[in-house]
Parts: sequence; structure tokens; C-alpha cells
Amino acid sequence: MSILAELSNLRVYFYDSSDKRFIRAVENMSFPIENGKVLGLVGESGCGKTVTALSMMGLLVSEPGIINGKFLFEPKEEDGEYIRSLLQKVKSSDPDEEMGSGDRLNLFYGLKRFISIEENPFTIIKNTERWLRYHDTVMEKIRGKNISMIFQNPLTSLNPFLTIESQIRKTLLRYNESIDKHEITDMILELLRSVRLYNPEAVIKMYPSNLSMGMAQRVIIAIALASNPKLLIADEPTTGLDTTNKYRIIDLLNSIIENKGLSMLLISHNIRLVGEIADSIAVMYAGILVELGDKQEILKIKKSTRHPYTEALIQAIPTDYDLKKGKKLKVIAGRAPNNKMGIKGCPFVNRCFYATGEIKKKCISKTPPLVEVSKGHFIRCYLYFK
Amino acid sequence: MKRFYFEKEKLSSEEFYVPLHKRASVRDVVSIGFGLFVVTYLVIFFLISITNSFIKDPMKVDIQHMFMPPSIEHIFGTDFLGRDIFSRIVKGTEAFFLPGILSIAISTTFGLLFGVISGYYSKTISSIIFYFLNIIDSIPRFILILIVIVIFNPSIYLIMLFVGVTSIPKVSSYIKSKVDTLKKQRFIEACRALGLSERSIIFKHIIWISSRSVLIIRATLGMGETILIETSLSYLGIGVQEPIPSWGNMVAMGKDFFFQGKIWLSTIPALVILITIMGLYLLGDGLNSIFNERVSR
Amino acid sequence: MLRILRLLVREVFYTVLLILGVTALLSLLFRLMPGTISFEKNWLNEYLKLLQRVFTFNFGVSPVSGLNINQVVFPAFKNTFILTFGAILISVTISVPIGIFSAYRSFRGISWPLTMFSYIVSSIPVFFLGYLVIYLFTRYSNFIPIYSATLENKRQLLAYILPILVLGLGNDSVSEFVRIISDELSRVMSTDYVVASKARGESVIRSSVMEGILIPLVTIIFSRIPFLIGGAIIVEYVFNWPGMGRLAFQSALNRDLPVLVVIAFLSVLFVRGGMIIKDIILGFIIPQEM
Repeated sequence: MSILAELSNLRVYFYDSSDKRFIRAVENMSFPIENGKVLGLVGESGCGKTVTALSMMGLLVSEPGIINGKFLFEPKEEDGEYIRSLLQKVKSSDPDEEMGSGDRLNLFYGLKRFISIEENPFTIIKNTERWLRYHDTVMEKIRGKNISMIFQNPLTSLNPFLTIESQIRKTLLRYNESIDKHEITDMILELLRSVRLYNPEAVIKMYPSNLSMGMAQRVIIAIALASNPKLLIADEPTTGLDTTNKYRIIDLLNSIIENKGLSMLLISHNIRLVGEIADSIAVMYAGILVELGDKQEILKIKKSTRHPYTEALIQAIPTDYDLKKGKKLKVIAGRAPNNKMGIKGCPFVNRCFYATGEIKKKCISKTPPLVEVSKGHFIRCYLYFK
Repeated sequence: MKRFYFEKEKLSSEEFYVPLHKRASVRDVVSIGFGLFVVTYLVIFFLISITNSFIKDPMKVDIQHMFMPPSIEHIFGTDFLGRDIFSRIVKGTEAFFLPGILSIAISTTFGLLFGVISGYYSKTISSIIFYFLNIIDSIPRFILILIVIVIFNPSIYLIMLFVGVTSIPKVSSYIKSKVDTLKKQRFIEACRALGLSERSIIFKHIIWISSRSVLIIRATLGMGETILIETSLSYLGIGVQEPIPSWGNMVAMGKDFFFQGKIWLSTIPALVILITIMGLYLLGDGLNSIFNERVSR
Repeated sequence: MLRILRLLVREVFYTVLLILGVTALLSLLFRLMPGTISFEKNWLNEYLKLLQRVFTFNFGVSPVSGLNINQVVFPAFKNTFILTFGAILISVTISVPIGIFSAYRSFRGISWPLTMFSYIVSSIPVFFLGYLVIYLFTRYSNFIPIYSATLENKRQLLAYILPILVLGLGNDSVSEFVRIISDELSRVMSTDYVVASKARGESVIRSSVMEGILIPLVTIIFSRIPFLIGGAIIVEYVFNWPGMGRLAFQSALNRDLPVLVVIAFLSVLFVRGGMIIKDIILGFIIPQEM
């Protein structure tokens, strides 16, 4: 089991200038992504999943924002040295901060020099603009070639003014410098076939507005794979599609991962869909990681060791049994909390089935720590805290 | 009938449509502040001018005090006939103020009218209306003004009326596009579903919402245009004529004295024109940016 | 290709329709003038006569001033065209860098003062700017001449510079362009597809923003032509440039309506021609009816 990427203690706050307060988007988020495996990141809308992914890619453009954390990533050999030299150009203000461990480099290295949060007293030192510019130079090497990201709406992710062919060609040319014109067209056609588009000659002449959602999503996936990345981040790739297409795309992704040995971070609110291909699952609520573990552990239908939120999510999936018996569908009562900074305690406490009596006092007073209930399985809940 | 019932309930479709406005950025605040400053002095000058109080006589010729540079006595100095420049500047607002309002009124009312009609009704009506509007639009405004001047020998009011007319096409097409987008919005469907009459839909909602956005820009831009045209015409000698002061003819008269080093005769009115026009445009820009721009994600 | 041709045909057809309408308007105005020397009994005949002249491009002699209209107006039109074309080039060349700069940095550092400065220069009333420029260049150096029919060829070429510069920088063109460019650039930079292309590693500057800004830019460049003609009247007056604007003004002073009407007509052609070119350019950039 080798780890390709590891996110540690990611913390992202946004500053609302009209209300003059910080909004907590992500707090203390950590997870590993193993080589050749799929990690599913699951959570409700607005829980911070997309922000997590965007922060990893350095695509957050909000100002002024706060960001902290460590993102270790093992880049491709040919890029490693160059990225290392870029990181070296910035001296971290923290003498203990490492630039990386082994072959993995910390892509957030030097962040503390631009933006840092002190706890006592609470002060924030930030120079977001310079951080974004510096980070951009580092991430330029990473994006596309090492990590690719695809988004929810495939039609708006494509340039509406260019044909599909021109758009794929741009990407291919970028990563294969000296290529003959005819070879490029062949590569494009081959690429489209590999995502199961069976009339590529027609597709390449089309404009994005001519494509259906399903076709467009396949094109997006094709472009993302064109550069042979090590990690693919898919942010709600199936949410905009109809049901049949949903499973087809997931299936496609599955086969691609198996064939190419890619790693993937699949983000979705649909835990059942994620369960189809994920190897491990991370559950997120209100910006906090509440559970992380193997798929088998988490997705057992019968009651098992789980975080109450995950439990509720699983229970909410309608099963044939429920439908036959005409049972009511289970919902999780209540709403996700307003993400003000400085909320104490577990954010799920108001909606938690188990938060009663004695234990509730603990839930309210302090955010529970992450506990390893079995090998590789972490839960953040006082139920499991001894 | 059901219609009355719902109207009594005053189910306002404004519930659906939240007038989005952006949080004002520093740039907007400065623009609006500066613009308001300009509008204030314009109004003050105009009021002073028509009541003929508080300032020296702008027409009073005083040969002994010709060409005096700015001083405490004469804030902007005196011109080649010894007349006080500051009071002439104040008086000069009369040349464009009311005509400008006339121009704005015409372009807004007719622009709204034609815009709403062509936006709301069929494509044929819309094409016909725009055909006629395009005829007016294709002739450069100044040339049309020259033609009008030759034919009618008009007062500045009539000229500005024409200027207003020439602005109708632009306003109409702006309104039409706004109406087009509004028409498609869900809340109009909701209005129909509730049984509100077509007429009330048009008037209450579409006109109200679309006019809010256009009024601000049109008022400021329109006044700016008016000032520019009036001063240009007066500069050329075919607008307001000597000895009646206009910022334009002051620049024209004063320019000959540049070489003698008496630059303030020409420069001061030019600067006033510059600041006024800029202020008006910035005001329109700032207000537009707050009220009309969709808040971006 | 076929689509472009169809577009072209449609546009030309509409322009012809417009010409019919404009001629009707102009002939109507012509008849309205008190004391016009008019040989026709009623408006319809007047209109038809004017129409005939319009389509044969032969405007005869002005009864007011005795000038042969064709001989006078056509060269003047050519000169104004040069002036306008040059002015557009200058405005665009200056506005595009400022606009891009302004959008990229929002307003830290130098960009805001720079933008403000361009706004200010743009908003100086063009008659004053023109005179100021003349004053500066004649008082302090003799190198760049002001136009005069008696200049030798090489010097004449230099005389082109100043009026084009003034019309390009003044007349509010630069401030309009800068504003549009920077607004549109900011808008495009935050669209989904630009973010998505960034996520694939493409560099933003070269890749997807071009078409996004080109469309509003092209639209506004050609929409400014009527304003430029108006501004040209003043600039030509100040610089004594033998163009249509100066001719229009002189005709106005002489009450020479026929010449004015012909100038109006040619201006309409100029403006509509610009619109047609604009639609063709946009037809190439925008795929189908998006």
C-alpha cells in the first residue's frame, strides 16, 4: 500500500466582508489517497467537499481567504526536481515545516509565510494575493499532468466557441510537443473511443452546444486523461446526468482506473454511487471529516460501527425491502448548520439520533477527536471515544 | 372571480424576484461620491443662475479689469472683456440644464415605450419598430443636428429635443433585451398562473423593473451627452452665442489668448466641462454597477 | 462559409431597405426647409429623384453653393475615413493593454490610477484637447505640422498624426473600450470553462479568453463609428483637416442643405458598412446561433 497523496489538516475559511466575519468552509481535513485506489468523498451539498478539492488544486479564487494545511503529493519523476526547486525558492517561516517526505512534496509548502492562523490570541496573518500567485506557479506544473480535475457540469466546462477537436488538440499538443498533425487527429479519435464515444469522427466536428450531457462528460473525461495524470479528481461527475448515464459513467471511470492504474478522488453526495467503485470512503459534514475507512466497513447495510451521520445516510437509501413494505423513506431531520467560525462541539449534534443525555453534554462542549476504531477506520464521535 | 381574490391577497411577485444588488466596492463609492458632488454643484449653479443672485453679473463688462488671473476677488479670474469668469461658468449651466432634462425625458419615455412594446409583442411588430429606429440610429447624431440647425434655425431646446430623439433607438434596444430576459423568467409565468391580467403584468412588473435599471444610466449619461453636444455646438459657434455664456463658447473665445500666456480663459471652462462630464459618467457607472449587475457567484 | 454568405446577403438587403428609409427621411427634411429651391411639385417626386441620385451615386450640383457635390464630397469622405480608421487603431492599441492590466490586478497598485488617467484624457472635450495639442506642437516644436494643402508630400504624411491621435485618444473612446475590456475580461475569467481549462493545466492568457473578449470588443468598436464621425466634425474643424466633417460644418454655415444631405447619406453607408463587417466577423467567431 503506497500513498500517492496525503492531505493533512486542511483548513479553509472565507471572509465575508459585508458581515465582517469568517465563514468556516473546511476544518482540519485529512485523508490519504493510495496508489491505484479510489477514495470517495461523501457529504451533503455545502459541506465543503468542493472547496477541499479546489484547495488541493490551487483553484480557489476567493478573497480574502484563509488556508492552512499540508498537501503531500508524489509528482511524476520528470516534474519532481523542478517542483522541488520552485518550493525551495520560498523559505518557510516555520523552521520545522518540511518540504516533503520521501518522494512526496508538500505542495502547500511556504504557505505559512503568506497566510497563517494563530490560535491564542486569535490572529490571522495573510497575504492572499501573493500566495495565490506563488501557488499558481507551483500548481501549473501539477495541474493537468499530475492531477486532473473534472467538474459537475460538462457543458459549461467546455469552451463554447471552439470545436471539440480544437479543444482536445490544445491539450494534446501541450503534453506531446513534437507530434505530426495527422498523428494528433488519430490520437484524438483514439482518445474519444477510449471513453466509449463510438462515433468520434462526428463528435470532433461538433461544438459543445451540440452535445448531450452524457457525451460532453465523456469528452471532459477524455481531455482530463489526455495528459496521463496520476490522480483524477472528479467533483460530482454524475450529478447532472440522467440515471442510466450515471451508472455508465461510473462504470467507465472504473474501467479506466483499472486499465491505467490511476488513483481517483471521487466527490459526491450520493453514497450509493460512490460505493460502486470506491475502495475507501471519507464522510464529511459541515466542513469536518467525520469518518474515514474502507468501503466494506462503512457500507454494511446492517448496523455496524459507524458515525451516526454515515449511519443515517445509509439508512436513508431506499431499499427494495422498504419499498415493498410501503415504509416511509427515512430522512435526516434538521438542516446543516451555518458555518460560523468558532463553533464548538460536534456540528451534527442537533440532528444526531444518539445525542441524548450524558453524552450530549460532551458533544456540545468540544469537537470530538478522530478515533481509530479498527485498522484504517477512523470515526469522529464520542460514542467510540474511550 | 378568482382574479379578485388573488389580487386582494396581494401576492406580490416581488417575492420571487429579489432585486439583487452588489455590495458597494471602494471604487463604486468613490465614483458615486464624486458624481454626487458634481450633480450637487450643477444643481446649485443652475438655481443660482436662474435666480440671478449671489454672484457677480456675468455680463458686466469691465475693461479696466480685463485678463485678471484667478484671485480672491474673482475666483476664476476675468476674461477679455473684464467679465467675471466664475459667474459666467455658473450662468453657463442654464444653457444645458433644462434642455438636458428635456432630452432625457424624451429618450426615456419613448425608449421605454418602444422597448417594452417590441419586447413584449410579436416579432413582426418588433422588427417594424426597430426598422424605423435604425433609420434614426444610422445617421450620426451630429450630422443630423447640423441638418436640423440649417432647416429650422432652432433654439437649444429644440436641438436637445432632437438629441433626445436620436437616443431613443439605443434605449429601446436596451429595454427590449431586458424585457426579453424578464419575459422568460419564471415569475412571469407564475403571475399568469395566478390569473393576473396581462396589462397588470406588463405595467406593474415589466415596466417597473426594466425602467429602474435604465433610468439611472439614462439620466446621467443623457445629461453628459447633452453637455458635450451643447458645449461643442457653442464652441463651433452655432449653439449658444456670445454674449450669453456657455462653457463651449468660453473655451472658443479664450483659446486665442493661449499664446499670450493667459491660459485660464480657455482652460478653466474646459476643466469644468471635463470634471462635470466625468462626474456624471462615474455616477452612472457606479450606480449601474451596484443595481444592475448580477451578483457573481 | 455558406452561413456567412447568407448572413451577408441578409445584411446587404436590410441596408438597402434602410437606405430607402433614410432617403425618405432626408428628402422629407429637405422639403421642410423654408425657402428651399425645390423643383419638384410634391414630396414623392422629390423622394424618387433623390433615390435615383442615391443609387447612381451622382449627386449633381448644389443649387445653394454651386459646388459639384461629387467632386467635393467623395475626397472629403476618403479623408474622414482615414481619420476614423486611424483613430480606431489608436484607441484599440491603447485600450487593450490598459483594459487587460486593469482586469488582472483588480485595483491594486498602478492599475487604478492608470485607468483613471486614461478616463480623464478620454473625457477632455475633444475641441479643447485638439487645441491644446496644436498649441503644444506649434509653440514648442515645428516638427509635426498641422495640415495645410500647401505642404509637400512627406510633411503631409506627418500631418496625419495629430488629428488621428486626438480623435483616437479623446472623444471618450478609450474610456469606453477600457471599461468594456476590463469588465468582460473579469467576467470571462470567472466562467466555468476557463476554470475548467485551468484545472487541466492550460495557461489562461493564451487559451480560452480570446473569443470571450473579442466579441464585445468587436461589437463596440464598430458601434462607435457614428460617435467618431461626430467627433471628426470637431477635430477636422480644429485641425483644418479636409474631411467630411469640416465640409459638413461649412455647409451648415452656408445653409447648403443638399451637400449636408449627401454627407448624411454617405455617413449612413459608412455606419452600416461597419455593422455588416462586424456581423461577418462575429459570424466567424460565434459558432451557429448560440
